[in-house]
Amino acid sequence: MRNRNGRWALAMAAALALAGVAASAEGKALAIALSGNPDTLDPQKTTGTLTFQVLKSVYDTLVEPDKQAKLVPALAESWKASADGLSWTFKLRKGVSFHNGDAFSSKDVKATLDRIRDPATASPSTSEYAAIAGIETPDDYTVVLRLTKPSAPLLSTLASGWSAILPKSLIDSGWDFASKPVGTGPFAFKAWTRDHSIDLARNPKYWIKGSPKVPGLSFDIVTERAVLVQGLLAGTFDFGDEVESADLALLAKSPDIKVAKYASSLVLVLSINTSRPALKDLRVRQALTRAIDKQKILDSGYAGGTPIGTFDDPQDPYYKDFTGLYPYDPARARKELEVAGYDFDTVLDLALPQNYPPHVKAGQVYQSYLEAVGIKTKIRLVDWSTWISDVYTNANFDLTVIGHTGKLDPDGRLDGYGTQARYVRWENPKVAALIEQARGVLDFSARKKLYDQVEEAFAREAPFVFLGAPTVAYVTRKDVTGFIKTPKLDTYDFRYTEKK
Amino acid sequence: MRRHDRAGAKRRRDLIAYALGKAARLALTIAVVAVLAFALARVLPGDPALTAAGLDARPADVEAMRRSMGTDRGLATQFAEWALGLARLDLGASLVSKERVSRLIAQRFPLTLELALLASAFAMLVGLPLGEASATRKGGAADGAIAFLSRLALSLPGFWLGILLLLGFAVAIPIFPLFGGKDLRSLVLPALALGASNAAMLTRQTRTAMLDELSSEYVVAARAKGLSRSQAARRHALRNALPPVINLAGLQFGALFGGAVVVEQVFSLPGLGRLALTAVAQRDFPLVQGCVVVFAVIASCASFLADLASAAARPGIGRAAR
Repeated sequence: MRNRNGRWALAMAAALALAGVAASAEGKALAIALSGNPDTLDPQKTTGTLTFQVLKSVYDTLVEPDKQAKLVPALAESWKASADGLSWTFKLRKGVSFHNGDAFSSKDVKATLDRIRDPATASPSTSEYAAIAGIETPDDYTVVLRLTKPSAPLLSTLASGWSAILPKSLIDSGWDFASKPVGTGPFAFKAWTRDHSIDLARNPKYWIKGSPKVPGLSFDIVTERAVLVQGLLAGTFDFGDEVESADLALLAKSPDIKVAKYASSLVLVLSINTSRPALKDLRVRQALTRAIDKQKILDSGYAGGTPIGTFDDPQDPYYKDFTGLYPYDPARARKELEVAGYDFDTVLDLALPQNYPPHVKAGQVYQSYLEAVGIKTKIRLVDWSTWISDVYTNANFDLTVIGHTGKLDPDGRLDGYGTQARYVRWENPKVAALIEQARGVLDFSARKKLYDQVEEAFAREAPFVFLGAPTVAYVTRKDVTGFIKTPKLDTYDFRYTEKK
Repeated sequence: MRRHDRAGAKRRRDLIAYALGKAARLALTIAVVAVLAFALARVLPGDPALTAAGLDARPADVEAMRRSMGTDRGLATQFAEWALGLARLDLGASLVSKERVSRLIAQRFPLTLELALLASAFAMLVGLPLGEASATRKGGAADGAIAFLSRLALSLPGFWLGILLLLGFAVAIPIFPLFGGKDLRSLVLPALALGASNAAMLTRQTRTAMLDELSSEYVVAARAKGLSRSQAARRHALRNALPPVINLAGLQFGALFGGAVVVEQVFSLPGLGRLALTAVAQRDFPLVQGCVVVFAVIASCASFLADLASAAARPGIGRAAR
């Protein structure tokens, strides 16, 4: 008996040793420190960044942005718009399968788009698909979208995270996509321990040959700064994002760590409620811009960045530079305020979202620059949910600090501006009409002419102090290579990531 | 012998009546908390649909989300639905994840319970002996050192102590995990961070209660019979000093669930505290309400059990405590 046990133990040891060798050859799952728990893993039910940081690895879209934000084939190999722009035909990739074994076909595309367009799904993104009147599937690998009117942003919408393609069979059976996502992506979902970790395993049948390169991903939810920094230093985590600038210096000193910086497409602003009596006067708003040293606030509030002069990020093909329009000049700002008859006893309400420390820090710097030209402000810290309902939706603020996230198509950021619908309450019917018109123009240069006018109106009428696009840092262990941050969408792409 | 039986039966009756009275009060407390939880969740500005929709959602889409969440209905309807559910012990479903609130809480509860039990055990194992030691050595060097330590523990915020413990015993001397575990070993540092200020409070409470007892007549009598000061302290004074200490420990246990919010955040533990914190951030009303009710039940039960324990620990308390 004892002898048999002994033999068993030997066999087990040998097996373990072999497994050990195999595991080291295969490498370990890449450990990614994620700054919070996603609300849901259903791509159609949220706009939350954290959700898409994870789902980018689980799902594919018909088209996707490449490193230059150009839309390239993914699950669709090619596409064509009809001359009138009212029908789009997509030819789909063959031989793709879902993680549950289903073969990918046009039926899945139709079922997915029907689900997000269904009001019962209650998706925050439903309106983006409003131009679609009907979806046809002439064969397994062809999808035709019939539109009510030409839509320039449609292709970008199809490249966004919420257009992830889900399997029809599971949609029909009412699958719980919120906690168990199933896609065609490079990694298959394994497990989600809420507020702790999300585990994904390599999809060996992924349609890009030789990808992915790591055997799995482990998204570790780390809410404490010290744990993030020490975990990166100790090798507990291979990858960390949202590292605060104060911690970067410490991390950069370690020989095991690489700090990479990239220009984000976030548009940082000091938003002005133009419906408030004190801020209605254009001269006051111009003075506000002249009072601010943009580069200084980018450097001290954020981790550096590029100043901007309008409501767009410098990497966008539609971006036009207006930074020279109202340059930093506190003396002139003061004089303009006096000419405009600004009441220097007014105390403006400066609402800051307290769960975003950089915005709060920047808010304090804004406050001192405004103070220098005689504008008094009082800081009010609000939690995120209050910010979005009270400040953003009900426009209960004078000034606030925020960043508008990148969009693949300019319409994503501009929709609704020029009307009372947007929180700065800036009315400009011409701008609203131009935005509406540009949505239906498919030709780039014709569309750019329209957006040039929009961007100029934003710059001149200053419903915001446009600060800049920040530089963002991410940190990896030295042995990690081939990481891509999807431009505009700012999601993580681990398809080509390797750990040596 | 018969007299003894009768006294015992009376004492049992007293205890049962006492327990029933407390249980009725517990039910009333929970009902009041239920109303308050509902009201407080709605007094906060913020809207779960807007929070989930983000900055770029169109108003029509947000309206569809409100309909799907049911938050477009009147408050009276929403309250009636929730209160009726609660009466049937049904806490409803999360607005965000659509999962049952009872299931979400049940998933998180064991970890936070373990953490609170460990922190409580640590507080008592440290607090009682130190309190006794400093009472019996009143004015001595040990008493001074213990007083200093307990002041220190009381003044350090839990999250700060947590970070210090992590840097000390997960980084500098890596004997505990920095991240990842949910086993007992990974609960040691969080329990220390959570229990430290309680240990300090128990130390002080024990010391004060012991000093009262040590100066009482029966201890003087016991010493006159030839017991040493420490023998008298251990055999007589400690047992009599226990009821107020047990009461404090019970109150602390309920409060530990609140303190766990911060400690779970620092130690990346997926417990009830973080569930509640996220629910508040997302304005997930049913989940916030469910968490508040569960916290209230735990706190009430803990103080109820502590009352019972201290009632049982002291002869005649059944009458006195009523």
